[in-house]
Amino acid sequence: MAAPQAPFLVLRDFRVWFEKRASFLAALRGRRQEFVRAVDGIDLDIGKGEIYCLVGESGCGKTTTGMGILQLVEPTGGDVFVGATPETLDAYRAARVKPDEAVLEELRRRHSLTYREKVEWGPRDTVVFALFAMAGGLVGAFTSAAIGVALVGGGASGLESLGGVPLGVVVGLFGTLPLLKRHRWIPIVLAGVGALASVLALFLWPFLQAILYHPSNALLPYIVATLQDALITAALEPIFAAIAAWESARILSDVWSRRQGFLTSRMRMKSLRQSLQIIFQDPYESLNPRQTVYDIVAEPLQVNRITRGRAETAERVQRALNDAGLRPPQEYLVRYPHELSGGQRQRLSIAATLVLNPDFLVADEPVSMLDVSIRTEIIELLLQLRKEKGLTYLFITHDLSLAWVLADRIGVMYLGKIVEEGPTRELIRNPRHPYTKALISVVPIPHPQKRHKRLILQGERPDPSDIPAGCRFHPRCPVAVERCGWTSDEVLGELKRLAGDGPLAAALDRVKLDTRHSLLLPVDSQELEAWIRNQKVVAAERCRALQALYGIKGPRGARRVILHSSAQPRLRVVEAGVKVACHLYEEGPAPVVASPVRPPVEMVGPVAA
Amino acid sequence: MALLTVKGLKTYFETLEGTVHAVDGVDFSLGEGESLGLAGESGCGKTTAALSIMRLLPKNGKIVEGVIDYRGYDLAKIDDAHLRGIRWRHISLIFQGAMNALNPVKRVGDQIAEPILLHEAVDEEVANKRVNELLELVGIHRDRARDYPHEFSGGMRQRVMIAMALACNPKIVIADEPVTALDVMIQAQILELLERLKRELGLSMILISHDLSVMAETCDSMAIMYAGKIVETGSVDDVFEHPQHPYTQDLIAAFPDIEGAQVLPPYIPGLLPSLLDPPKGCRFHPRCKKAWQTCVDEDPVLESIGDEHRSACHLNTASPPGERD
Repeated sequence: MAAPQAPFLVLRDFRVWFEKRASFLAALRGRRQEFVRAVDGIDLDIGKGEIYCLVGESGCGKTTTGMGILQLVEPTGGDVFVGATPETLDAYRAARVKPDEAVLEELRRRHSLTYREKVEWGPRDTVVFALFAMAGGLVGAFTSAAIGVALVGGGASGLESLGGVPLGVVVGLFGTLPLLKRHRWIPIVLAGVGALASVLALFLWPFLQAILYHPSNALLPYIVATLQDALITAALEPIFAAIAAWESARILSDVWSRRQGFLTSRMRMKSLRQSLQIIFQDPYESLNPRQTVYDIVAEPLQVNRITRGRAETAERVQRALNDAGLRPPQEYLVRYPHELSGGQRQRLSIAATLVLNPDFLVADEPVSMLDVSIRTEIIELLLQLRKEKGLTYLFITHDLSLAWVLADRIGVMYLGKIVEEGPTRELIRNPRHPYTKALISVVPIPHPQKRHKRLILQGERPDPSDIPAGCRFHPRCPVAVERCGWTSDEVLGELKRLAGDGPLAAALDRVKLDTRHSLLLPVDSQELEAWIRNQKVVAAERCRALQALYGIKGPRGARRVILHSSAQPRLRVVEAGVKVACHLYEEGPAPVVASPVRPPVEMVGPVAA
Repeated sequence: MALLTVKGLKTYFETLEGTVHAVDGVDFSLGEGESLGLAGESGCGKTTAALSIMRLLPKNGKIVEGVIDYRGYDLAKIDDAHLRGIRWRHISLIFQGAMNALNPVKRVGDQIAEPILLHEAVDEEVANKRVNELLELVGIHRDRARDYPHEFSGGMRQRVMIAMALACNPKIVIADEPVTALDVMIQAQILELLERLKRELGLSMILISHDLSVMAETCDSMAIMYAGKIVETGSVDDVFEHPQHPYTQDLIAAFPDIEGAQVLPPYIPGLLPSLLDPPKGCRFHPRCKKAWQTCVDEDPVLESIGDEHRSACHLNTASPPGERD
């Protein structure tokens, strides 16, 4: 349990974001790409032979962290070092503090698992990109044109309807714009040329024909008919073309972003794959039901081309089964997973990872699907393997009581961030972060006499694609203070809730959100002002959002409710080995006010009845 | 006076491999306003026992023997028409797995209204009004009645399931693993809600769970099942503080205790017996540390060892020959 000297696994500002698929229209309107920030900048040091438990509610990002370390999902940023020397880590730390970009870049290139070779984006790439989108657009437009011809019937009108194809390509090219990083003028020029062609094909050519071949008295009706024809039959094509172009541009964009990450990290990761392994949660789902025990355990050996010949494979498979407690191994070799009990299946999963002699295991809820009476069997096996083979574990669980009996250190995650970290005993017996406190208080205890006060948080965790400002936990925090991240909409919502259907509800409806930290009051709202002042006094204990009220000021007609400014709490050491990310454990100057520096208006004004 | 009494219940399943003795002679009773926990590991027959009460067994399952007495009606034998009158209006069920128990293509309000329209002679307007009340009762805003299940989180769906179970003002609610697969915080919210409803509506409740610590927090009395039989029953305090049956002792010990010592809990070696051919004598004897020859030969019966505290173990009446340890 001693503090690790040279951590085996080091994570710095580790991030895994998932792209939210933007719709074509949203992208055209210039909406920013949205991300689900599953893991959002965590630092982690795990010592050799240590068991580090990551706990938290589902959706907090603990599993994604485990998968991201093994690059089973692609990390978005940050660094992962495995088995780096203390000198390297010191140099890295120094370069980050300084900050020295060149040194940092070099260190990352040589040691980090997540380093990506940067690929410059040139005009050539844009041309390829645009042409690809154009080809997609053409395919889409032709498809719809062909459908049109088939439905409306062949002949001249059918051919004319092909005139919509270039128009589709034009729209498609514009569709690539939001995905492009640089050289946006290229598709615009291409689109311009396409638009010209489209106009020619659709309208001018029929007109020319009409002027040349029709008598002048029949000209007008003919033009009208042609216009109608062209418009109706070509209406769908641009839409089809645009969708197809957008999709093909997206595919190319994905390929591009993969290519960027391919070079360095993949090579390094490949050599490490064998020493970094994972045990999955559900032994009923994670084992192939059509493979025998032998096949399941031998597969990693075959994939990595480790053994020479059957005899060696068989020998290593048996050794792994034996190590995982499936004894005697001969008895299990030809069985299928469905012939095994839950505990035996999990042993089998463990055997399949052990066969590669790993140094580091991510154990993702390895016992939560098992009956309680056999859980300890599996845990004991994991502990024994640590003793015998010096394995290091990142143990992911939602069960704090399990972490309590198992972990050397615990990290508590909330919404993609570690909010508290410390040695097991210290963290459980003396939790500091309000979230940790609540989480510990709701762990059921198998002793009715020890029934205690549960600290039940209201509501559920927020959507990780729309993370609250400041401290992520503040909307649910029972002890949040003024600088925890309240924004004007949260405060207004809370005021409205307090007012209910009362006499002030109408006045509150006219309050406007001004900035993130101020609200604009309607004209002549002395009564409302007084009420808000009063609420700050009487309700701020219960409704923590009101803590953020700072003052009401401004000239008549433009009175504003000013809120305290906020900040995101950083994970900082509060005691040896204990780190907390909470404003309550920060020393330092009082928070600064966001808005114009003027003496604050006294909050405790005339108290309304 | 007990509201519901189950005596000698035997429910078997016919399968290709033979008869599965899922519930094999189970007795328990539930008082007015009481909450009873049915605990045990997976496959011990606790869900089957509950489904037998409502006679909601799959086709191949059958109540072979026993009496389920509810206010003088034997639910094991009464005809379907009468049973339909009792289901939901007297006894309702919160199904296991809120994630999957709701119909994904129907609005939740309509799903809650369904049992009301089915069991009570009311029109849609009355039913909808009741749906709104039910939703507010379980802490969901009434506007959400028009949403579909996928728009709700796991905890909210479980609340919907609870609202549905309460739709016809039942006397007894059977909750089958109501908090399994939910986060600890949501789990605490749901348990708190169940407790509040029980108090406010005067419900009797049967809580089925594999998690003993959940029972410790919410139930008055409990019954521990093993391989289709009840091995110990009594008040929660009695069972937890003075467990008599070796299985109960081992099972309680297997839970890590966040307030206790920082050591790995012991485990119960061996496997659950097959219910196709349960072991002779006491069903726990192959895994029991204290078993002796009598346990192999004779099946122990549930005997009183204190007020309401009963256990089925030969240790109650005899001691092992020679007291090996």
